[in-house]
Amino acid sequence: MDYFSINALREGHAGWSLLRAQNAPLALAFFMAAFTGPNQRNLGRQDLIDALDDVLFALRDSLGEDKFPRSAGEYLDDWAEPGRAWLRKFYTDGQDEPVYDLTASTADVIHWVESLRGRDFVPTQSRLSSIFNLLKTLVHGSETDPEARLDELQRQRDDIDAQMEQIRSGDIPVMSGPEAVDHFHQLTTSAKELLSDFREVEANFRKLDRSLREQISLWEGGQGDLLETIFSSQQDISGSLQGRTFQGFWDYLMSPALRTELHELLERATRIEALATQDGLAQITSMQKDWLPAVEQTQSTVRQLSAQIRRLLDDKVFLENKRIMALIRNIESGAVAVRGTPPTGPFAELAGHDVPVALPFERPLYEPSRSTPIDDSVGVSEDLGVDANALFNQFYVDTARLEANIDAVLDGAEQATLADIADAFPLSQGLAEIVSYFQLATESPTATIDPHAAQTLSWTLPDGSLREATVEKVIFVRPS
Amino acid sequence: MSYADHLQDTLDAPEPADRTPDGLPLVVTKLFKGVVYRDADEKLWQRLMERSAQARDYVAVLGLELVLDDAEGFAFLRSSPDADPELPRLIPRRQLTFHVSLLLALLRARLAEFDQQNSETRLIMTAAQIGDMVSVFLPESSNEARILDQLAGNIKKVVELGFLRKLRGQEGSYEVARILKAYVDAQWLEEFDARLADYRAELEGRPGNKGGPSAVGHGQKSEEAATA
Repeated sequence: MDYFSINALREGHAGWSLLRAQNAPLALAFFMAAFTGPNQRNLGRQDLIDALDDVLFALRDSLGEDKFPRSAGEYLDDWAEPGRAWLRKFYTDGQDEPVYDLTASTADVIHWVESLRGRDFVPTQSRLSSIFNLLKTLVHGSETDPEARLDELQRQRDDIDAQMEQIRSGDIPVMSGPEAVDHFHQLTTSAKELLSDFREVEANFRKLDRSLREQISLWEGGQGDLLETIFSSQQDISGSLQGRTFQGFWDYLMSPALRTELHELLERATRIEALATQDGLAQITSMQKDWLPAVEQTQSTVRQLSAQIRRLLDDKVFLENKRIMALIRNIESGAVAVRGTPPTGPFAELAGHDVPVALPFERPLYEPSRSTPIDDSVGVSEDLGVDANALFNQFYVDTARLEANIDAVLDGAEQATLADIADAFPLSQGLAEIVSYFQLATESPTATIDPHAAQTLSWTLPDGSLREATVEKVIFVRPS
Repeated sequence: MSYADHLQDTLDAPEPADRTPDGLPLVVTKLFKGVVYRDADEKLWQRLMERSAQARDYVAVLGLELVLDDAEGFAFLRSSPDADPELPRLIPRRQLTFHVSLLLALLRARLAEFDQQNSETRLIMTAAQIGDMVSVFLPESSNEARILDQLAGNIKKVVELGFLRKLRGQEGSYEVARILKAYVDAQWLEEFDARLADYRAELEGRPGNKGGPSAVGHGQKSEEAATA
């Protein structure tokens, strides 16, 4: 990289702009708390606002109220602005709340900042051995000479024979404690890095998608030629280098034999004695479980991108979009010209979406109102020593509870009268409760109130005296 | 079907309703009620896909046509262009003012651009963004409040038409319904363009264009498009 490309990065790269930002510590601390710490992705706006509020509250508490003057929502909006692009804000299907995820460059910055803290342990030996393994895979995998391939396999077999002989003779080489720890650290770091790589893989797919779209929208020739260029140059998403290695990874992970093997190995790794004191030993068994949703998401991104590109390339859409853009440009210039004196009255028409069907029987018929006799004569009590406070201790009848009572009784019977319900669930709030039952009955489409029959309900007051009420018969019927 | 079979059928299924294919009544009545979206009801969509041929035949009797876009995930009914002109129209046409029509056209353009540049499927716009998009085309007026009211009214109208959907819990944000693509198509825009051209000609007092938005100009435009 030369001076100019580095300078361009410094000016334009989202990650670098994040590092230079005034509130970078706030943003990074928050990103770590919400995303990378709990290893979460695609968080809803409200969850994020709550998480940011927590971070802001703690900071304001120690630094003073005026330190971060904006609200959590404003910060989020700011960070998701296309100019900053520290967060990707998008809408998923079926949800009205926007969803946020870290961009790949933000994930890189977090990774880098975390590495600045320094590690108390850097696995070196295991890195060397993984380099050796990589090198072997590379060299032997690319060998085309059958003789050389056979020689190599023979050498491996001899090696294995020698090891078996050694073990038979009673000499069992076991990895030393520090060696095991070294490998374990290498393992967990790689696993974590792989997880954060998926974000970048996705970002690469989006980049490919964007360049494809650009090509499609700028294409002047016919649609057939366009398709030919796209497919012959392997610029389409699944044909790209990124697409093919990702597909390879996916196939590898999806192979049942490999998955079982990986699972068994991870299980056994947790039982290695030398590692017993290591943090996060138990978590490595969930490595696969962490990968699957991440890979799944990348996979679905690719699927979605391909589907959209296909839609864009669709015969009709391709031609119609061009025609439509040309027409709208025409209309725009026309509309500007008549801006001062726009046409009045109906100008265009558009078909509706539905067949309006007016149903006369949907309209309620006239229903004479029924007068309910109320006996409002009050017998005045002689006793003036009554505690008037009781009047003000209003209480609340929980209709949800009453509904639950009705449902419970109807569970065992086709229909039930109010008396049946009161038998099963004794009245505890007296008249108010009965009134609430009546209210439920009038609102329910399946309940009936029979004015010609009466029922007597009774309840016991806290002081032990019995009260009775004679009311119209209410019948609740189980909804069919 | 033999007589015996038929008899058996009749005995098994005494109600004639049982002989309509399973699920068709639901599909057709839902379509009568409005647009069917895959996202809104996966099960209903599945039924519709299974029964689309029958539904198509059924509504054809009423002079309607089923429009089904599997890629976009919506289906709706419209008056069939081949239907007998004698048939009364079942689906009402709504009259739009110039500014509402223009707003629809601009939203359609925005949706096309969005699809070309973006991999997302949902175009979300705030009222402010819609305002910015439209403001160039509104008369210059000192009364900003009146213009804002007018804009709000137009947005409301488009929401009623079902081409913008208010987002729940997000004040002033709207989703542009993808079904807009099916209604505001090249043909509709051509008519719009032609009518606008007629209106401009009339404003400038050019001869031969008396009588307002006439069908003449519009017909010429369509012919041009057909030969192009």
